Amino acid sequence: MGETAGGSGGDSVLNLETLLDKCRQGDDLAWEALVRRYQGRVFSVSLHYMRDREEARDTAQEVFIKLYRRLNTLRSGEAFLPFLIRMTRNCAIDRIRRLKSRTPEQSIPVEEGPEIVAHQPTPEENTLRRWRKGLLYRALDELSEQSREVILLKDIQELKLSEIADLLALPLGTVKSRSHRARIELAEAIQQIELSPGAM
Amino acid sequence: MNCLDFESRLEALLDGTVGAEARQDCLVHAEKCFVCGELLAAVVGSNPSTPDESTAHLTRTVLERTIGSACSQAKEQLPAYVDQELTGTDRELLDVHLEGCVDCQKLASTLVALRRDLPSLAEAPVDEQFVSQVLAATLPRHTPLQLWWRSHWSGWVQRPRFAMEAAYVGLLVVILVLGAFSTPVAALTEKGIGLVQPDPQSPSVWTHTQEGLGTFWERVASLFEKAESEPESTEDKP
Repeated sequence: MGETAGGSGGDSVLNLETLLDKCRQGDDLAWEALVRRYQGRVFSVSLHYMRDREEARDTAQEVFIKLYRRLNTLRSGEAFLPFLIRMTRNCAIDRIRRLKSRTPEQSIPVEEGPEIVAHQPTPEENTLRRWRKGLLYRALDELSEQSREVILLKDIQELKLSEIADLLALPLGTVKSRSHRARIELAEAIQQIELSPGAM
Repeated sequence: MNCLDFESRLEALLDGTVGAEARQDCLVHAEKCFVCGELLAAVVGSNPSTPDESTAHLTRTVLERTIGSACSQAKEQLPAYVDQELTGTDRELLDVHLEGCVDCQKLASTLVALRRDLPSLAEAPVDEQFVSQVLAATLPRHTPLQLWWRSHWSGWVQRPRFAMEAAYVGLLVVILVLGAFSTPVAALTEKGIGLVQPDPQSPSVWTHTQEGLGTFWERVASLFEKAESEPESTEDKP
């Protein structure tokens, strides 16, 4: 778990292993920093599965509570982000099962995140970024569940193919071909939306 | 330059391997000489590296009458092409296809944009209350005793040296309690006690000390008596 990659927040400089060690020792500030660092990713993954902001929020909260209880059982050397995404996926699937039926398909609302950028974006850049995100979410809605999941894991969360194969219990070759196919589907969906009149 | 020189350099001129000066000479000659000018125009017009609309149409027609279209195979390879995983002949063949296929060019451009844009969805914004709710649900409520322990002793006990220090102290206790009777220094305790206890048969250090102290006080008392019996000071005497 030697990652330093994290999420939003100014604490991402702190080494992840150090942060986890401090969390295990009962350091409350370290735990808060860990939650802040990964809340965006956990919420994003939950949102992709749950398709509902409130449900995704509850799922993300459940993930962090489970993580807190399992801090001492984390295996050393295990990549933390894949572990966290696996946990989020499992929590989301369990929740969906509990809810019995899926909530109706909803487009994920596009909101501006607290992104740290090198320069202050102009209003035009903000508008363009919002438009691009909206286009991506709309195109993702057009995909099958399977394609959307592989796009989420491979291209959005940037997990390695071997980690996705492990997570989905699939052969590596299958994951690779699914990933290629899903990207082509997504690219074609984007082109269709762009061509449609009054698309966005 | 004459026509023979022009013809000998024509192939190099088309390949672009001829020097700048020789190229200029060839072009000047082609402008002046009608035959060589016509030859150059004919050769350049039939050059396969510069396809015009008619050759593109020909390619499409041939493909339609043979394999249909190569786009499906190109689509399969495009993600690997965009990820720079496609190398060698496969990459060159796809490059050739992309030069002549507008649809696949657009698809490739969209895939490149996706590669750039998708990671921006990795995090979704969460409101500030989320963190406080998670902290409230996870962090335990500490009693005053726990807080005192954590602030004063927890850090001290968790030092890496603590285990070694505890083992050292434990070993000392074991030696003192169990090992004192069987070690060479075991007799020291009895000897020490014997020194301070008065023995009626043999005079001990304690006895000698008592006698010495008695003599000392007797001498002090005699000195005081002597001082009192002597007359007043002689300071007033002339």
